Amino acid sequence: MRVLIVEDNELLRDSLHQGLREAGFSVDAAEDGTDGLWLAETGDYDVIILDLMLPGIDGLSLLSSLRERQKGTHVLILTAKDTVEDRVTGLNLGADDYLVKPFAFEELLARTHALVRRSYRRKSPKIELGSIQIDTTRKTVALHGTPIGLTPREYALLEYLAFRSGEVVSRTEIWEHLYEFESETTSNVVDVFIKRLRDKLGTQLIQTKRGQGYVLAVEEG
Amino acid sequence: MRSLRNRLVAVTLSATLLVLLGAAALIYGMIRAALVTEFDETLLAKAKAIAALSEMDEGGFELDLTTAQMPEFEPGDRCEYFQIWGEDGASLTQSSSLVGDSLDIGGGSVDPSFRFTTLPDSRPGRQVTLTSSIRTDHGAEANSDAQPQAVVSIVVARDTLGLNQALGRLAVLLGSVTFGAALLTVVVLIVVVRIALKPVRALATQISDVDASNVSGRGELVCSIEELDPVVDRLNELLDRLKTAFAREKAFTADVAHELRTPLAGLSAALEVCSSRPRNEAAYREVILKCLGTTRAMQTMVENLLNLARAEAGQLRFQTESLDLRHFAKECWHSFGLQVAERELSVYWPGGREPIDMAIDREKLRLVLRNVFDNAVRHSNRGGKVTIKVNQGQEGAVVEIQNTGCSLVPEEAEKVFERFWKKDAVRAEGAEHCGLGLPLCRQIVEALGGSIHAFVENSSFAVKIELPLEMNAAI
Repeated sequence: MRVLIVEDNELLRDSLHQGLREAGFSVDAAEDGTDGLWLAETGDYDVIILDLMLPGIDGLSLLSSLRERQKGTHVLILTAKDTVEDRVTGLNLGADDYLVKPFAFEELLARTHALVRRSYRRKSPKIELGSIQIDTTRKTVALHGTPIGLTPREYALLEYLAFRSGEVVSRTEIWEHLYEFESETTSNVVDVFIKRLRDKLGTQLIQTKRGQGYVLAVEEG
Repeated sequence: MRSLRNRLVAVTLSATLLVLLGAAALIYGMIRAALVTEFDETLLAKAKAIAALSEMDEGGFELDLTTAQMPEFEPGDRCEYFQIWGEDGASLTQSSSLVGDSLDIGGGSVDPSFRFTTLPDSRPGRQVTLTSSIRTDHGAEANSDAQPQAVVSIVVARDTLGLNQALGRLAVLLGSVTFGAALLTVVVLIVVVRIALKPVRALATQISDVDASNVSGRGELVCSIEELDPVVDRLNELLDRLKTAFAREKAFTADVAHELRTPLAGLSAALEVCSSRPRNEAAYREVILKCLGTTRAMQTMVENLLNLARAEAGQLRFQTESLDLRHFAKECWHSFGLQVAERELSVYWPGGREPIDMAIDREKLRLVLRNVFDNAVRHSNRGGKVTIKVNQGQEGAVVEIQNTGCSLVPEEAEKVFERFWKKDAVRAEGAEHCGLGLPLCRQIVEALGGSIHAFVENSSFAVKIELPLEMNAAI
């Protein structure tokens, strides 16, 4: 899953970046509103973590712009302002969640996960698809009850496919969704990871749709 | 006496009493005069009647008066008296009511003359003394040239009990009216003043419950008394200033909270993430150093805040020391070496090299210089230029710091001295700008007896500080 952080305080930005990446997200970060807006519009993020007091374009204006352009990415607002009016303004402008600084990183992480689930319309953090059980908060996978060891990249790919199970996902989508802006991944690397997953989980699970992409299908029975 | 009502009542009461008493005295006087005149006319009439009934013939004086004609001269209750004297002063006759007593002949420069007297039986009375010619025997007119005149003095006296009673009643009446009117005046005045001052009490009520929590929602004060308009206007002005002050304080408190929360958020996130899994020594070290940097920044902000609060409350303490300004400025600049290198700035120190001796509070000056230097370094563009001039002017020392890369317009230059002022309500570019440094500098510089101003010219921001060589701080 891909997350964008827009925060001008360096220490906070770097810490969030590190923390989210270690939690399995692909993370991009911007230090002012202008860069943040550009990244948000051009990229395909699952969640945007947005500070309100920014140089350049301020957070609320950035949010308004996004919503005006029909960009539906979930946004979590971070700010030191905690009055009811501020919260209401933020939510009314289209924010999905609100955290007041300072906050516990754990809480930010949990809310981010929740926003991700929401964007794929899943209520439960656990996904069961046939013989596979995925725990999205612990980032663990089990096959027929037996835990399977996956690298962070492999897990991220599986999780994404699982969130979108039943839908055909193109390589480009996979690439955009899992890899950071400046990474040098190409779609070939995606194929490599698909193969690895198949090896670990069994080929029936992930099917190839020629010319379109992959789909994680659950078979009945 | 501080009560308006009491003053009004006292003055009006005194004036009213004065007028009423004067009027009462006048009325009493006039009525008394009239009554006495009437009394006197009666007396005189009686005296004339008696004169008309008197005759002087060869046998002597004769008074042709019967009891029936003037019964009042018989002895009895409330009797009246008369007595007649001849020219020689011998008593010729007297009323029968005068039993063995004699009246006082009285008399005076005026004829007839009247005067108050005490009657023989101790009743208060009044008598008239009339000198009159009387008939002589031959029936001729009393003042015929041919006959000798007979002139007598007639005194008639009556008691003034009736008169006194009437006057007594009059006095009581006038007194009651006066007193009643005075009382009424007082009552009416008190009531009227109370009613008239009601708007003042209403105004006081409007003002009395203003405090920080409700001042912003307050409408204007109104009062229906025209004379109080200037007061109400000033009060409304005061309320407006109060609203502004409270709003500013609220904004300041919110700003402070915000300014402290953001670095705190950074610290807490950094420490939480760092401790979420085992890391190597280098990673820990890096996090520790970053956190230390933020902690120092927060420390500076808290110090600035405290100093600002103290400066405003007039509680800053000053100590004078002698120092060389040029040398001291260089010393303060020294700690910015790292930042200067990191931001690739060029620094210039044009001007002379002679020392500039000053007697000033060393630590306060350090605070000021560091804040101004910090501002210049943070806000200049990367690769920009910082110029520092230290000179001795006519009235003291002058320090000017200029940095390139300024995005403010000239009109905004002085705004940097407003607490937490931000251009477009957004933090200044490229810095964790705490927003208190320059306002604090102004407070301190002015307390040191100097002045500080900011200028913007061609994208360069300059701060000019003027300080007296000898500090005479207003402590």
